[in-house]
Amino acid sequence: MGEKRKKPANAQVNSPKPDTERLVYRAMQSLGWLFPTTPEEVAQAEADLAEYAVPLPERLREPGELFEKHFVRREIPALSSEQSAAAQNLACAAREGGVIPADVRAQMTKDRGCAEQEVDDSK
Amino acid sequence: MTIESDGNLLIYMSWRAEDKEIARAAGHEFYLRHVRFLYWVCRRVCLEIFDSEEWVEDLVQETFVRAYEQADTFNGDRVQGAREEMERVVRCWLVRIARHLAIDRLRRKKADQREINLAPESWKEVSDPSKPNITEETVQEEFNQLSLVRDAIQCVLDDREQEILRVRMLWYDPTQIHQRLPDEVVKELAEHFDTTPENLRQIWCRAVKKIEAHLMDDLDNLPPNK
Repeated sequence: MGEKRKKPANAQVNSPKPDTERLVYRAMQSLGWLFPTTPEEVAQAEADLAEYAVPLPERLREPGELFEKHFVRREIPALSSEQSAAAQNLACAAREGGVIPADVRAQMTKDRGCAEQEVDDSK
Repeated sequence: MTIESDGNLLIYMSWRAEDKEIARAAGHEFYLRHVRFLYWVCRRVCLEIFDSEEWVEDLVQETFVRAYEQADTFNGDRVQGAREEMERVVRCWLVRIARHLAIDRLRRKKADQREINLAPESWKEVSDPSKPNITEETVQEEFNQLSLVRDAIQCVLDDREQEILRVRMLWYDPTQIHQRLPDEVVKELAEHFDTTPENLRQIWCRAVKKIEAHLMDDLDNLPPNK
């Protein structure tokens, strides 16, 4: 028979104690329920990966244009103040003074980025 | 690029404004090197919480984009070991980004917003690979306690308690002793679980007490020393 294990110092109290929380955290880490945060936990996750290999979904196999398309979305060249004012006046006239809904504006921005990228790529 | 270390790839990625081609090639190699690991980790942590395979895939992609954009914030100076050690530290950093994105998603789930605000200072740090002085005895004791806690989590808690505890632990920082979730976060999580903040805290406390009781029962039933 093994030795009688020591009771955790926090085991008999009424409210959650830091030691219990730490144990719960470690237990969940070992179950793979939490993100690994240390090189040791990463090493364990790597070992698990080797054991229970899950196939990579088709869309994740290659980065493709992943980095590009996000940069197009995020790095749209700014118009000069003159260009911007003129463009806004024309756009406002075209929609007869109406307001552009946020979702339409987001789509417009995205489309513009794609168009500019196509122009860049064709150069 | 295939022979470059992860640290060098991140340096090349940080040149994206000056040398787009090198940055792109480095990002491509970096992605291929880590995507399988990151997908595996994100899937096993997040699939049950978010119940969406598609979102897990989005999370993986978004993590790589953030890594690409913030490559210059990685600090691998103190990693002096083998290439393998650098790779694990880089993966810690990558996973840290994914964790922040998942937490942000969780907090905004009701609004269904995919844009995530991630303050760079919150994930600049890289987990310190130095290890505390651990004896064989403490390792064994910890192992025994962990086995008991794992049993308790899976056998004593119901599904909802497990999920709430699991989500709560996404915020847990093992380097801090006393931790309390900010009221704002509790309120957002309560919305996620369709309950009140007070009830959420009660469920959390009850779950931990159940685990403590399970530990006590088990230890009381052990045979005495021989």
